[in-house]
Amino acid sequence: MENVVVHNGVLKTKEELEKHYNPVKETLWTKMNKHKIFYIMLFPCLAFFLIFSYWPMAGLILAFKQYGFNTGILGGDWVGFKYFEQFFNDPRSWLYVKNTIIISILKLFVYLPFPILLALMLNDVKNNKLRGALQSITYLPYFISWVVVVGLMNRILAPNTGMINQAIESFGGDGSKFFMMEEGLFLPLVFISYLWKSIGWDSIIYFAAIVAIVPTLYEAAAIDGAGKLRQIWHVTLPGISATIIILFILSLGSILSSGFDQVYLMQNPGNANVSETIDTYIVRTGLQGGQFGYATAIGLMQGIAGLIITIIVNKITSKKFGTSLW
Amino acid sequence: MSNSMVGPKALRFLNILLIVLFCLAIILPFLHVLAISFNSGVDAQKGGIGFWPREWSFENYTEVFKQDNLLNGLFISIFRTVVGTVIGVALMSMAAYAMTIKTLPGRKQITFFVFFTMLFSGGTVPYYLVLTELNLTNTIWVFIIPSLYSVTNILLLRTSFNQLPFSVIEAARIDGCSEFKIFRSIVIPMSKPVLATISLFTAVGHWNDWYYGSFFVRDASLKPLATLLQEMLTRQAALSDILLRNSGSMAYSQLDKITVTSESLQMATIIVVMIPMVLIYPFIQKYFVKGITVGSIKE
Amino acid sequence: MNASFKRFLTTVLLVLTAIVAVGCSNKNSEIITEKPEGAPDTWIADRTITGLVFQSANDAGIDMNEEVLAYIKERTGITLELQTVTNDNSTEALAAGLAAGDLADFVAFYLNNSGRPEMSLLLKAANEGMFHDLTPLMQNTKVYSKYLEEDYLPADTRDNIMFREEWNGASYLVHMAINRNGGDVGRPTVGGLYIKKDIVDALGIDPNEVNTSEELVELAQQMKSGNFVDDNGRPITVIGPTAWGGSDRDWLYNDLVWTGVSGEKFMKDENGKILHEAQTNYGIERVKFVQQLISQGLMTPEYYTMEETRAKEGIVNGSFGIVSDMHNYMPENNDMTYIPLGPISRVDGTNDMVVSYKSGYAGWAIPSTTEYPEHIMQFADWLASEEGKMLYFYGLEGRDYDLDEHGNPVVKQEVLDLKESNPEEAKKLGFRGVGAYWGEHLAYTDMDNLGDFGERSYGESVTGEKASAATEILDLYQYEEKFANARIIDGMTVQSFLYEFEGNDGGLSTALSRYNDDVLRAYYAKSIEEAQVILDESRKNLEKNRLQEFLDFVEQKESDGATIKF
Repeated sequence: MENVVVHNGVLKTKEELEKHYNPVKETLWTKMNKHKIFYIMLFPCLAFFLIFSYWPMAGLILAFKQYGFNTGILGGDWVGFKYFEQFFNDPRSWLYVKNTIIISILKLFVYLPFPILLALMLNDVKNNKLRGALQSITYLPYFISWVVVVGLMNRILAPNTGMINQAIESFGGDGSKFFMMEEGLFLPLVFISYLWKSIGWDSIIYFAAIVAIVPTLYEAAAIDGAGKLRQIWHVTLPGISATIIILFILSLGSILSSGFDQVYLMQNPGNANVSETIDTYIVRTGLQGGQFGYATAIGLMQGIAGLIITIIVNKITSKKFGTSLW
Repeated sequence: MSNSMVGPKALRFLNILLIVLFCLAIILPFLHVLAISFNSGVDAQKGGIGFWPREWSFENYTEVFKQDNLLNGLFISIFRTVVGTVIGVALMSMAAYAMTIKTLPGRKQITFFVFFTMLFSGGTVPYYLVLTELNLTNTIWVFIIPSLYSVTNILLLRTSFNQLPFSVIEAARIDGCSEFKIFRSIVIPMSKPVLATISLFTAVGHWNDWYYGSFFVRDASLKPLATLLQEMLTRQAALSDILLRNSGSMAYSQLDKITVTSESLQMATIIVVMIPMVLIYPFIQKYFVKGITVGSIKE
Repeated sequence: MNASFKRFLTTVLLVLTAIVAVGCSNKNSEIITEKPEGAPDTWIADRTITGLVFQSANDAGIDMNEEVLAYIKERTGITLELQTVTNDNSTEALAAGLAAGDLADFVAFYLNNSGRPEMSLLLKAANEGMFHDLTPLMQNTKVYSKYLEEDYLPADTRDNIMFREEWNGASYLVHMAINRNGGDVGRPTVGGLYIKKDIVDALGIDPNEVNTSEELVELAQQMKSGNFVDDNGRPITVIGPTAWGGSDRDWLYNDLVWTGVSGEKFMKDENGKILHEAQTNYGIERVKFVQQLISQGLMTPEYYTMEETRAKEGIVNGSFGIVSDMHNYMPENNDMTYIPLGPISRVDGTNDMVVSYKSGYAGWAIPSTTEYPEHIMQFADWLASEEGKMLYFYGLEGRDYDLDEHGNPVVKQEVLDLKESNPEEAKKLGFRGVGAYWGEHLAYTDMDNLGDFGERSYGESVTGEKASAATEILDLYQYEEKFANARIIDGMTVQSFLYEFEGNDGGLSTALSRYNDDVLRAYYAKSIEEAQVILDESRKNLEKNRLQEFLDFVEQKESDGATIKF
């Protein structure tokens, strides 16, 4: 994707051109001075992340300390790895880690192709008005909170009185199945409701990427005799692959926190074995009595796991697809 | 399996059919919400409303606009969305543009510094402490300042700026244009699609966010609409909390204290909160025609 | 630099200045302690008192009526300002506020008893010097000084919340909603199981005679085979959830829960040893009972999970044969569709009414960062005085009520009408009677409505017989007789010793609440064996968290003279 320009009748890349204009070796200071304006533009950004991201990170030290209101974050006695031991000594912790990862995989991997598919399908609708209308509809659910979505699900799926069960009953079925309480249905329901709520919104960025593909590429493919599906396979998908891969890698950082609201609201006694995740567990127990150290320790583990997985996947995609985040 | 077997027309029709079916799956629950919101509240309590109101009534909507706190919340939401988006997008574009300048000393380190923040956070409590330290809690600026920058959006902008034709910028440089003028009069006008998208993302983020409003401000007059709606919807959770933890006549008197908003009024509020964002979408949509892409941070 | 950039920079600078200005201006309001001429005796200081309330938005009642505020200002010089953090999790919000030291002049919080989850947090804060000592401040007050009298406070409030032994007479937390007289329950209320009246009539049974879980199953089977229908002609659900939605309440199977009246699942066995339910068979017996009810289609599977809106829907339509918890003042039951059932006897076979000597609810404290803490205490005292209470409960004289010859308030009819026709609008009048709860935090204590206002609840003397369904239900339940024979207990629940036992560790309290979650899971287990496994695992978890040591500790306390309320 390197930009190429014609300069004095010679084809040159950006770098070459810049070298042409800055032939003399400059000291770092004069170089920085020349870019003064860009530092000014960057300054608020750096200050922002320093203050709102790095400063609170100092709080991670709490994972190794006894927290006291009067001692604050930096005071307090060291407790070493006590909180980590506490977490891993609880036999159920592993179950929570497992549940979290399964739900994450569902939302990161299994879900991944669906918004892309929707974007491809929308792109194929050539009538602008119709496409606009359809796109607006798919994007609606993003604006209602999980409380409402889960409330609607409870209503539709209720035993005996719910719409689905009444339909089953009218076809001669039993009609008393308590769908929300079924352990085996928890993951499918998480997935379907997540898809329903997010797909339209998530497809926006893919749609914009598809539109950015130069039309001549399609024309060339068509001349070569490629049909619709082939064009998608050989032109569209490669055209947006960088977008897909990078958004995917970006989402990996949160692999150990599988979305709190939805899971928390869908939990019930029947599905506790598969629905308790690290995040819901912290809220249920960790913060009672101000056990910040414990909650922080778990947050730290989530961050480290996210970091490791992001680095590994970045390596893999870099080798396999030639695209990576860094 | 080429088009000779399935005509492109048939394929296209099938495609539209599938999307329409999917849209139906989205619309039906919304019709249900709409039906309840246009139904009289007392009647709705009997349940059994499907996709059409049983007893038409606009009282829920008039009630929404009669409530002072909801109107005030609407104002707060509009303020934070407009101000937060305008300042945020301006600042993010400047930072993202500066990051595309290849000759900038320290560019790599700066980029790393920014992107690393995606992976770790210090947790709620230290974050709260920082906001308090800065005297931001309980002011309207707590909605604006801590959400000025988003890493993903910076990445989108950066990629897009990287793909601008370098020759135009270089020509302006030779003409003696200042760097800021180049940014303002060339880069920005050429980047409308990505700016529109980022504005949409930022605006929707502001509009939907209820967490800051419930945690970081305390004055009732500072609560945005999304927070008020969330409170309305989760009051029930507070109810069962009391049920579980209390017993005896004191529990009942506490339960009587809580007036649960009627379902119809809740649904009407949901619709009211949703409408502004639904309305701005078509305006943003036309910029998507130009397209945007996301690229790596190494470029 | 070119002009446009300069203009831009100026704008940014202006915005930044504005931010800083707004950020700093909201603190440090002036305090004038010198009493102006002509000020009333009740004048305290010319200042603003801000209160930060860690409760749900409605409970906090932060929107105050202007005229009410003006009255307070005129009488005391105080401008009251309430703020709230309406997080889902009020405990987390309280913790964050305490951590940041970012608190108002006083803080208010939920605190039913010392077993609440907030308690360990508050004690930690008190022990770390976050709050002012209130004992010396209370000494100069009229109402709150009663807290210092012997036998005024209930035992749990006195020994566990306010005057803990290790504080040597100091106190940091004020417990609220204390009744003036012991054994006073205020408005007579009948809670618990309710049954549809037309079913009772059709089956010809006496609902007061259903006193065991077996009898209840029998009744439920009769109801099922009776093919009763609701208002819409659909078959009824025999046993529905509480009127406020799904919840695990004991009413339905009192005799299968190992507990006394506290509901904490601790009890003495026949040898006088204190046991937790996990150490008995009652957990699994209850699971069998529930599974039987659900599998026979007698109980809604959503008994523990149904949302409030749908539970109310069921009651309005008469779709539940039995409602597992409601009370006699529910507006949905004004036509007396439902009447009381049972009650089912407790596990020790008793069935009589038990009344707490006194109980408390919610509380407040003064952060040590507050200047002139005595102002807060004086102000609270004024609010809890007769004048303050009248303001909080009845609003303004002349506007909202008149006084009769005994000095009791007579509520104006138009206020009652407004409350009936447009409760949201009425609430804006800003007092408790119409649903504005701003005074709950400082005024709601030393309660004796009958003594202070001549009526038990707001507007009763005017509406009179209107609440006839409620009164009729009282008669059906033989309330007067039961109340006359009620046992009055002043004791501490077992869980109130948790903090003393384990401090901030929290392992056992977490294990105890996990047991309750596990019982719920066991109800929905696929088989009794699976349920047994869940309960066994939970018992082991309790044992690992030193349950036995804790029980020994409580037994020691009891032999040292503490009264324990099981």
